[in-house]
Amino acid sequence: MIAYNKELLDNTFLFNEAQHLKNSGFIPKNQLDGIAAKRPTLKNHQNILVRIGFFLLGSFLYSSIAGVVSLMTLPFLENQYKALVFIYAIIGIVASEFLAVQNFKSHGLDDAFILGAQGCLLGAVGVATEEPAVVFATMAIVGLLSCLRYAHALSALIGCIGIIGFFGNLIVEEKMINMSFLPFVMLLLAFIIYFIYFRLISVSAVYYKNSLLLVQGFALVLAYASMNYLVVRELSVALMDLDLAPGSDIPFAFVFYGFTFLIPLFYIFYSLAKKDKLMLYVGLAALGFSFYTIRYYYSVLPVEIALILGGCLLFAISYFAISRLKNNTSGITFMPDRNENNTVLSNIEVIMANSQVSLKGVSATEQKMPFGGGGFSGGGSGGTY
Amino acid sequence: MKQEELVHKLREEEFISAEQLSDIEEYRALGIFSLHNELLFLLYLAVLLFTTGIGILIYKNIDSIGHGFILGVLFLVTAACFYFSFKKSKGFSREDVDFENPVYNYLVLAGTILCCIFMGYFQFQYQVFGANYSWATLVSALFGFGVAYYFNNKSALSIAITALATTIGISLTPKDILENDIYNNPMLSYYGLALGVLLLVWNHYSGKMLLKKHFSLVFLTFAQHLIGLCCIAGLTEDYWFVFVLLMAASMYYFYRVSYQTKAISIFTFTLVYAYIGFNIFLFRLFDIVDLDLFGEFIIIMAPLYFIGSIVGFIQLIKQFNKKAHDSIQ
Repeated sequence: MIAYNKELLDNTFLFNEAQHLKNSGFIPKNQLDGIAAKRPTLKNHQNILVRIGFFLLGSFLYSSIAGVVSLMTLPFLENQYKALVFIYAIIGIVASEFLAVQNFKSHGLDDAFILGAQGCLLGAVGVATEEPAVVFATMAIVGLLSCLRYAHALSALIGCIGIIGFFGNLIVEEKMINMSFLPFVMLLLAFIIYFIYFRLISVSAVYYKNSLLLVQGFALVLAYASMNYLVVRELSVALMDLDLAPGSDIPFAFVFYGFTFLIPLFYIFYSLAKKDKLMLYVGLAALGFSFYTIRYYYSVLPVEIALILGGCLLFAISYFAISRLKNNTSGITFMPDRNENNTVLSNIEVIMANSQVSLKGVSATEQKMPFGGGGFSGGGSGGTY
Repeated sequence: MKQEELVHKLREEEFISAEQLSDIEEYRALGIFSLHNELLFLLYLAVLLFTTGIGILIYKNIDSIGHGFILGVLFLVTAACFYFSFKKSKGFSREDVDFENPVYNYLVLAGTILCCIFMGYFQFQYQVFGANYSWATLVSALFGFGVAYYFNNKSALSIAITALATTIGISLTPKDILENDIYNNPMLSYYGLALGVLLLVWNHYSGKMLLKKHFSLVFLTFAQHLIGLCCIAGLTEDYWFVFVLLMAASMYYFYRVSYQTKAISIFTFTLVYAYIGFNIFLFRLFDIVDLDLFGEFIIIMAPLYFIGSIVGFIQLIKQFNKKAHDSIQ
């Protein structure tokens, strides 16, 4: 099933593990070099920037090939332009296979063709059938097949989107069941997807680990989103043309209010118990979105006060957690993990910090406008002093 | 093969010794679930929420009666941030020193951002520096540099450099990369290039003086993006041939620097900017000799051109990785 040379694939993961051990300081570099010399690996890029770069180059190549094909064939195809999209998809599939034979995996180039081929195939099916349900079904099948064949994590995500798109389409467009049950169907799907992840993660080969993690993340986000009050309410208004008069609410509103907070809290506590980082991240992000949800409908406090209080509270909680966990040497702890790269987040912090001075960008551009702030500030100082 | 089997497989093949395996297993048995990065990131978010709130609060109350009081309170908060940070600080050092408790880094960051907000506000309200707003950002920038060097804080450094760019009218925040004044105002390209060169000179000088050598990557990153963006903006202007030379020279410089520092991010962006620059250059050449003449020829040649580029890039990256890998101990 898998497209790559099995031995090289195994070597790649062995080498990655060894590299990991070297970065954590368990083995010296010459040992890693020994492995590299004896075990050739697939052509891959671990640096995400490089991979994105090659992904872009691959996409340019793909579209330029498509351009040449169009130029050559268009005079003969006349009204058969629908066939052209299929030809693009076939080109993508052939190129993906070619790259797999050439031992490219997680390189960037292969990503461009694997994703591009799927995109073209979906486009082709869409143009040919004009049936969203068929497109979603194709998406589910093609995504999962690509994931199996190329151990390609993003394809797994495409497959999952296809699955929920298919069922969502059946309910929203084909009216299979009453639309107010849509959130519960989605929750059920999330459970099923999570269950599949749960059964597979302990038995699956290491090649599929990233794909399965993405599936897990998808299931967690789907479960939360399907029960989030804001999502449900806005989707109900958009899909069912629900006209909510003041004082009225969506069906089962109290259920969604409850789950909007219960699900993130459950994620956070359960992930701490199970030592599951991904679930923790989803839980924290979901909790943040829950606060946004409440503020969206009930702004008890002006936004600046909410931000200030929220900042103080978050600071206090983090500070408290840090001082509690500082001296733990096992289990949940504040000590840096040898196995983790500690520079990524701090680099993000450095990059993000500079967005904070954008306020001053406003005042700097004002200097170009002759009457930018003069009158305004004059009024201010007159009022106070 | 499963994840847990990998390390045993490495032992089986005698790539690692029995002691190493037992070390690894002992460490893994501790079941460490480290929240180090996560909690620090939450602190960081807390600082951002708080300072954003303050910013909005001041902005909204800028004309109302209570703003003197608000400012007074906030001044006290800022002073408190720095008071505690000074108390816990180990003092200035040329090396990479850190607080014993990393929480103080975030107090320093909060103090810096608050101080920048004040500076902007005072200028806005009382025009301390006359009608020219640039002075206020310049003072903020200098203050930021002071904080960055004293407390060894890279986030403050990043703020300071951004403020410096704002002083000359260039916005350097990530969200402004595509919609930037540089593209509409040719003068800004020259200013930006000058600032980029200034950062490089300072970086070079600091390296010689052994002054905070670990700040080097921040300076290089800012200088690279500033110079890269300004050159691209310049390439679309009338005097584009000047910028072809500038682009080529600067990218050659960054290419060399990336080998010296083994920084793959610098290396990658060098390739990205050089490639964008080269393509604009090609288009301008085609433009001179009339593009319509060989439009179809370009479309047919495009795949070959991209294949050629890909092969070239693969070689360059391979070479870089080998060099960088060989030199790491």
